[in-house]
Amino acid sequence: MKSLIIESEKNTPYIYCNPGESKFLISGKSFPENSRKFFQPLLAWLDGFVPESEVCFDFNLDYISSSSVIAILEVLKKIETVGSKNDGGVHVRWYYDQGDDDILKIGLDYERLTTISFEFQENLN
Amino acid sequence: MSGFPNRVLEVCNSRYQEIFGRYNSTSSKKILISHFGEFSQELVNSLTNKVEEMMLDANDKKGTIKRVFSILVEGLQNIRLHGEKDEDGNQASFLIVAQDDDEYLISLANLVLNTDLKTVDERITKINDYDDRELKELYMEVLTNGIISNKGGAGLGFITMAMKSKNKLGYTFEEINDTLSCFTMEVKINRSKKE
Repeated sequence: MKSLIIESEKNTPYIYCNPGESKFLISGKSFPENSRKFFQPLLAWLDGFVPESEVCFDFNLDYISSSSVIAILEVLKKIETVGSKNDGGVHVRWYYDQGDDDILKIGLDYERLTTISFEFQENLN
Repeated sequence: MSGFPNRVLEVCNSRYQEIFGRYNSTSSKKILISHFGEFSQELVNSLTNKVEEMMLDANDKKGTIKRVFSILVEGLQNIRLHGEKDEDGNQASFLIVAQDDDEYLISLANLVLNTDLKTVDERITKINDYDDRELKELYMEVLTNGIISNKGGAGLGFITMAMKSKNKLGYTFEEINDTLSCFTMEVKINRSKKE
């Protein structure tokens, strides 16, 4: 399957999904004006993604606007579906900066709202 | 002659001048940034970055910087998505960010339809009445049922602003004509400097 790579811009995150390397990452700041439109290509890509073994998605975001919070929940729901397509399932590694409770809390909310297993990892500054 | 092409702009601008003057007349307050007019996405990006830099220079804590940044992004995107236009097609709006030793004050304004006043008023009144726990519950409720409108808004903007501010959201409406009012918000963020 083809990789999906979207370079970051001032208000949008870097997206790197490469099944060949088994690497899936979303990082940076997310405050596009139209979050739904921005995340559409990722949602479409995930629709076609059938992993052969367990996959881990890394989220390393340092700012998420409120409409992005909802759009990323849609992404996670889609990742949840991806997990049901293979035996190994999926899990999410959620990174947050040391002392950044806001990003940590958003991750904890997502853990509550999905069935995905979350691992929380502090970025050491 | 006022120099403004229409009365809507004139009323909004006098509101802007009034708040600017009020912040400016307090010797302890410093105006970091102010803009009257439309906000492009590029301007939103550069203004938010500029304020972030100024706060780093002022030695503010990272948490305070992130909270101010968040309120600016939510407030300005709100203006861009929901701000009405005057009869000449201007999305009349403004922003003023002021700082003193104890707090940051962010004033934001845009045009709203008079027919929407009640909805906006009820929404903010409800948020202001809630304590932290109730606010978080409301946030989770909106998030769970989250639907992003075609414009890209999600209904979490005011809630997020209140949660980041940790203060009540100040707001006023000033009726301009039969259709439009100037909606002004004042959001306060307490400041805690690095030790």
